[in-house]
Amino acid sequence: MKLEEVKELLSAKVLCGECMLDRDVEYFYASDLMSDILATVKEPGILITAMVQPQVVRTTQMLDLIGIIFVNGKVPPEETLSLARSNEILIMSTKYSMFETCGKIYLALNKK
Amino acid sequence: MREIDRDFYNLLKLPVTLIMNANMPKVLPDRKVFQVREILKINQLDGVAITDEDGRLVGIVTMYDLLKAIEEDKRDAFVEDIMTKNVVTLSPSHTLADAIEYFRVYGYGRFPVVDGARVFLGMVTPLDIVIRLPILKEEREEIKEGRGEATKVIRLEFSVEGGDFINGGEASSKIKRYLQNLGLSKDIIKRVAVASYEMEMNIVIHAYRGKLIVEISSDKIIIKAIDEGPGIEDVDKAIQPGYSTASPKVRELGFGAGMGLPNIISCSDEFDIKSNVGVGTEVTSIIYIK
Amino acid sequence: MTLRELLDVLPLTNLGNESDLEKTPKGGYVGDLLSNVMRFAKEGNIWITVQTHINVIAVATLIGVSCVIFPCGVKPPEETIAKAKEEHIAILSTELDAFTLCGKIYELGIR
Repeated sequence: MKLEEVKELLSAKVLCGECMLDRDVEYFYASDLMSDILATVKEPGILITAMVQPQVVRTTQMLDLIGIIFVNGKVPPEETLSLARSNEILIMSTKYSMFETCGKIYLALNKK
Repeated sequence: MREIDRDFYNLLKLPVTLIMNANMPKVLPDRKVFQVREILKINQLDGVAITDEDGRLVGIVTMYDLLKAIEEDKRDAFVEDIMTKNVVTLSPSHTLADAIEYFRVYGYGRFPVVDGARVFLGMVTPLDIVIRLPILKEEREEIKEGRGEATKVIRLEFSVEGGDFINGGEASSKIKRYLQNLGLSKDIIKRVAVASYEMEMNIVIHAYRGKLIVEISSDKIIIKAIDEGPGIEDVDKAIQPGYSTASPKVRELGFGAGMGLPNIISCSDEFDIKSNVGVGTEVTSIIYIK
Repeated sequence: MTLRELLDVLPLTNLGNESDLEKTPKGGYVGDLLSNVMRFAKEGNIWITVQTHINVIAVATLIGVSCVIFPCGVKPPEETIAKAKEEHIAILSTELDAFTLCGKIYELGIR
């Protein structure tokens, strides 16, 4: 699934890493706990979370994840965005909850 | 003026946003008094911001207000009806010195920080200033690289400050980049990155200060985290998945779910932990390069 | 669809009281930051979280969620299970990860 489609599906706003929207993503992870993410992520993909502190970017970076979708309309603080920019990590924000975000992406992935 | 004094006055010119607690829960105006009391209790807070659906500040309420309301049989009232509505606020352009002046002039226990659209950004209490001031140091130790000629061991050393959630993880980022430049395999880099990151965050969460040391030789990578801190009372318990002594505040940052040490163990070929209560903890992880 | 019916179609294990499975959940909420859950979760939601601390049950009771599901094979400690039984909060676990679990629940029309 192209990140561009994910953006459309979630009516999301891209906050940084616009140039990565043509990338294809197969794996999605949903969690707010850093250690859980560190333990469960196996393949590069996208993290869906409500945790907007800079540590979420550090965690993403450790695992070579491509980007982060912030849910519940959360907008991260500037520290998080600047860290994401310097590490070339895509960030988008959607008004949907984590549950709705997962549900919508899951249905779209399974339709293919 | 002595050097140290000059440093201190420079710190006071930093923006108040660096010292505020940005990880506060926000409460909608239609939550009931008893619910908000529970929220404060669970989060161990004395006061909280009341915000609308868009995160704009509409008032604040303190534990005192809530207890008073409960005493007056208003436990089912909306928090909106008992909150303080005309709140004195700080903005991101205020400095730490401004915040201190506000506390002195107004004598209140907390000030919310809001942006131009009155969106709530965080809360400042005198305790935040006391706790965060010492870690507001700009300079952090860089890579100390020593190459032992005969053994060809590369040693990287970083100092890590307890409680520094902004810079926590930076040492591990540097370690990861260094290993990528050495051309090691993806699997090895990921295991070292995850183990060192969890070790670094353990120092940030639990210790006063510590060091993260990485020694890279031709056949293995040794990662050591040595900290000065309270130590661990029961090491066997601490390495069990799900066991944690972290505070609710740390949990709200996405840490402290009791998965850190188990994660380090699963990334390591060899693992060791030694702890002295009241002194500190030393964690060692060895990962073999096949 | 009741929780008991959900148990028939998804790979879930019941950790709590049998008698607490009669509720019909309304929508779902995934999240591990308790303050967010307190802010955004709604009564009757299925709450999916990897947090296993006993505070989870306090928050579940406060919001009135229909059940708590622990994904990724996460096992809560005994005290959390005991508290859930006492408060009559249904608690379940699954080997599925949170993303897939949400997707499957959403697919069943619980939204």
